[in-house]
Amino acid sequence: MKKLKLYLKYILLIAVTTIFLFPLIYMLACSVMSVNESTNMLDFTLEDFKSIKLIPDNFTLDQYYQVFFRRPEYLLQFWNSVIITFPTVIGQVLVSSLAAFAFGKLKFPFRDQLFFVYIVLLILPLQVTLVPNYMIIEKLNLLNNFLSIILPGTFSAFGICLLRQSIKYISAASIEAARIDGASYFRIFTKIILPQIKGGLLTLILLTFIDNWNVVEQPLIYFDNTAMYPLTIGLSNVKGFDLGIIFACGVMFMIPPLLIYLYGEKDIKSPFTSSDTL
Amino acid sequence: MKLKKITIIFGIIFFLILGLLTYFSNTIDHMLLPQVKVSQIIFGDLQGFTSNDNVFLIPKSAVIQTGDTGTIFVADGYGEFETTTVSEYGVTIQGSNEFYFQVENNEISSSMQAIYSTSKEIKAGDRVFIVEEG
Repeated sequence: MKKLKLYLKYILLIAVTTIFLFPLIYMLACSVMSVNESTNMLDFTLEDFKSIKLIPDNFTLDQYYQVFFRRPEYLLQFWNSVIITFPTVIGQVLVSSLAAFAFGKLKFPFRDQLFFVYIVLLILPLQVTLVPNYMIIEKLNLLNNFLSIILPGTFSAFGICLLRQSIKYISAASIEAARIDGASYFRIFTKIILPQIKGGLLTLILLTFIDNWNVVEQPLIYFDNTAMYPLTIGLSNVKGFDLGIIFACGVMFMIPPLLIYLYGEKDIKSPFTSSDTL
Repeated sequence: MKLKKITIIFGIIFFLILGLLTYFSNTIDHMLLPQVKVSQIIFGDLQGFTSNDNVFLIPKSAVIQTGDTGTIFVADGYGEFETTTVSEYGVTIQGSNEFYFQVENNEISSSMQAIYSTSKEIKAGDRVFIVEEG
């Protein structure tokens, strides 16, 4: 009976994993098919699948060849995504960790009320603040500038809320002890806080990275210059003839977030405590 | 620890390769494109008259002749970075001299350039790199 339960559990887990992994496997399989083979599976008039094939009839790397050697526009769009994402992630981690330290461990007037305002900001969806943001960005003369996406992303409330939770788990006694020993707040932040919230930081890096890596609305609104569009928009504009390229681009596009996940795999599993303290 | 190291090394190599490919993308693309030589399509006939709108003179090497008809590949104009797309047209051959065929077609115009030499086989829709204009 116990064994049967275990088998059922495994079957269920394998089934769920297969469902979640299917788009990824499908993308990988299609990326090594010829353009004709992959487009033949799709019916553009009905916007449906005619058939689903996971094993290519003819293995080919032509799509990768097209993306890496023949179609520079996709590589440029990839770098646009990098230019938008990397500074946003670095900025948000810096701002959020410092703000979270202040909200979590320092005492100052109206601290909790101010944090409540942050929570309210967190609840507001992007679309609600898009028009006010546009007006501010226009006044700052930042339209058609990557900073129009980087700056609002840097000061997002989400990171502060996430890291504050991580910092709350750190005992007040260790901070008190450091203060008695004469450590400054900056030293406490760098030597005591940061090493203990490694999991939270990596979680924030991954979530912010994915959020900005998949950005679509902001570039469409803030950029008139199509040369500044990231790959997410470039892929949605791919015409039927080039459809096969989507899969190879998808694989290329998937690699950076996957690398970040692999790098912080152990720490991400425990975002509210450091893996070293477990 | 080993996974972290491998991830960082792979990440550096990945971005380095993509950076190099992007930096040299136009050079690589031009090297791989068929290099073609083109000649302007001349409006008029072999006698020098320009009364008929659909009659043009095209270099002999630009026409693939099949009896009284032929096929020409035309560069429609410059695209990005001196590249252009090829179009294919069927023409009716009306006569010839030492250098030109007199052809008739109502889709081509004198603003087009006929491809008379190519480094690789081309077909309609292909992008090509123009190396020389005759």
